[in-house]
Amino acid sequence: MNLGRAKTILIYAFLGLNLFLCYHLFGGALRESARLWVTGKEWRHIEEQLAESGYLLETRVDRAARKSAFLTVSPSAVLEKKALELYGAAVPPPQGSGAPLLYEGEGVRLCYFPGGPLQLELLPGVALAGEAADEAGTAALLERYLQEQGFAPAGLCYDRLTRSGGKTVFHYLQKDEGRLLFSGYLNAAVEGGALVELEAYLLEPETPLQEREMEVITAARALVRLVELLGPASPPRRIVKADLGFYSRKYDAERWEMPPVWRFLFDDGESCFINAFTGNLEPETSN
Amino acid sequence: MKERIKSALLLLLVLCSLFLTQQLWFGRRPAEMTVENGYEPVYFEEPRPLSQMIVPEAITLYSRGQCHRLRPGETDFNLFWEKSSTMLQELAEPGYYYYAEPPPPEAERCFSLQFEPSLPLGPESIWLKGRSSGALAELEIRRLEDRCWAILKESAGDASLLLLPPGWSTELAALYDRFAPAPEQLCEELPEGELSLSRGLAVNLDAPLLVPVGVSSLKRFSLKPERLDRELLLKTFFINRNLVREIEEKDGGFIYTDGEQGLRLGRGLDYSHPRLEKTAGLDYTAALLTAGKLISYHGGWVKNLRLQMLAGGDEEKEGSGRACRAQWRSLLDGYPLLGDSGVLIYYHHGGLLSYRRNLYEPLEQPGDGVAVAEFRKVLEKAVTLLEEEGAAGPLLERMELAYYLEGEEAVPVWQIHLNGRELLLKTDELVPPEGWEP
Repeated sequence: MNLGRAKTILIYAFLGLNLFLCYHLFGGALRESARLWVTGKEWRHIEEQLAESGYLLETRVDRAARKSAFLTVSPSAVLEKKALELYGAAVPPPQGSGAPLLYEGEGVRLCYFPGGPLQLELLPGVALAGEAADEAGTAALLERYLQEQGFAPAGLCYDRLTRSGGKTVFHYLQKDEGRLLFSGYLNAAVEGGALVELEAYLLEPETPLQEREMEVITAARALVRLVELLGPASPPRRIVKADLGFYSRKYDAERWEMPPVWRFLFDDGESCFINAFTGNLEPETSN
Repeated sequence: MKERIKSALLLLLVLCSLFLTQQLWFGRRPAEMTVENGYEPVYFEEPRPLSQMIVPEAITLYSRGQCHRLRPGETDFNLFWEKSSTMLQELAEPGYYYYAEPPPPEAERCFSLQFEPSLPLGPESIWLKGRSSGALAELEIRRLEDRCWAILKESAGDASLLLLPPGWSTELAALYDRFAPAPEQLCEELPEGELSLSRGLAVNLDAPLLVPVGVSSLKRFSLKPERLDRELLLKTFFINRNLVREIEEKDGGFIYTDGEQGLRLGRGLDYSHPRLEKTAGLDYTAALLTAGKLISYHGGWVKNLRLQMLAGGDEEKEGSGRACRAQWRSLLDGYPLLGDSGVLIYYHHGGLLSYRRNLYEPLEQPGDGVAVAEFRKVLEKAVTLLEEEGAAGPLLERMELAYYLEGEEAVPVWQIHLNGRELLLKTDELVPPEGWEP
């Protein structure tokens, strides 16, 4: 028999065998990831479904399959310490217990709830820019001021802007190693180019345990659940942001676990949190 | 050259196939190492059969003008209860034994079993299966020579009389004759009407009442809180443990929730599932069996735990519609441990609405004996306390000995029900125990 021919036949045979073995070894995982990815056709169908129910998706959405674990957090005292360092010494000691602690000094009113948010009122305010400055300019100056004062720990990221009376409120979210923490925030109110109010609540996250990671529902599934839970909207509502992060309500506790959530931000400023494990609406829908 | 390439490629493919075969053959994780799916049914113990779920609250024996009360856990109590239970199970067709006339007046009252909660009767139960339904509140045995009658007093107020078959009459009579009372089992039967006390005080009774008079002292008990396997407990409440998040409270307690149900572990266990869908109601026997199943699954029956109360599905549970309620209490030397201790559940056909469990185990060595004041003295003190609050001529409804949980110690108390109010007084000092509020 021709040796060269025999080798060719054997090469084809072993190639076939290897493909068969690869299919058995890795086929399951490939099929699984393909199942979780949302195809373009499916996505168009979801967008149509949303539009029919009165929801307009006006943002890019992560369509990949993801895994996540609970994130353990505890309340952070960083801002509280900083505020007391800056303003606490010049004012009377806190009175009462359990109630929010108040410090009042010249041009500043500091209020914080032990284990809760910190509120700072600056009167008449810290001038950042002239009244004519645009929002982007004001935001840049605000961020610089917060960094200088130590009120902007690394990881705060700009989220949105709202208006209340004459005030423009800049909302920042806490971010830790690429993970958005919707429960950790800093809101800064600017009026007439001056920073007049700060409200902040920051968390101390621990590293999530990889062995506890589970698949999370896709953004597409979360959007379908959102519509199911909120019902049809009339007039139509616009979804301007859709992000995966972590969220839970505030607990007066030592530490707690936050589930991964899909946060959908509407144009009116309302946020809806869909638990990315269960697809249920997390109780508090806005921060 | 071409042949060399072919040879190398063939060799590479052979090696690759060997590696892949090895991966396929040995690379899979064994079944015991695969991640739990979290959906396995988990429970603490198998549910108890109906025969072991209910024991009488007390058994009273009458002889020579005296009465003695047996308490759960005593050897004689178990003998009388086992015999009576077997008899009620064997009398599947009670219709054969109904006795239309009243028992002869010479027939002596031998003993009676009081049931709280009631003993279910009928086809769904194991006792008197031939009955269409019913719930037994008291079983009284009367005897004349070698004949015995059983008076069945039902919770609804009806009573029926059975002339027991000769075999059972002989057995019950023999059991009764063998009974040797202990001094501490002695009770006094207070007659209906006014009971005069010293210093011009008095109480009224609208029915005869048994009061323990033979107990001169009771031991104190040091207790330790029950320790349950936390992971097992979590798996009994949450179908998928992986979806449960943990909240560590500042006082050291832990809350577990999956967003629908919540479990708090701290001083005992508190569980709540407020949004549980309401389903069809439960009849008395089904409610009893469900209660037994729920406690067996979530923590189990511990030694000396007695079902003390079972209310059918006519109770309103805040925000959850009508629900059944069951309560268990620990017994120490046959006396109930009162205070923040025991098990209380609200449930319906759809499952558990809420569950509170705070149980204690006695340490091995009981403490010192505590004197038990005579019941009249205790009544005087109780009436005086009530008079200070403006109530006079009170109606005495119940008077029993019990234990009360003070910190991690069980202290003996008198439990008195006067005019619908409960009063607890320490058996020696006749003052309310620490932490108790009327």
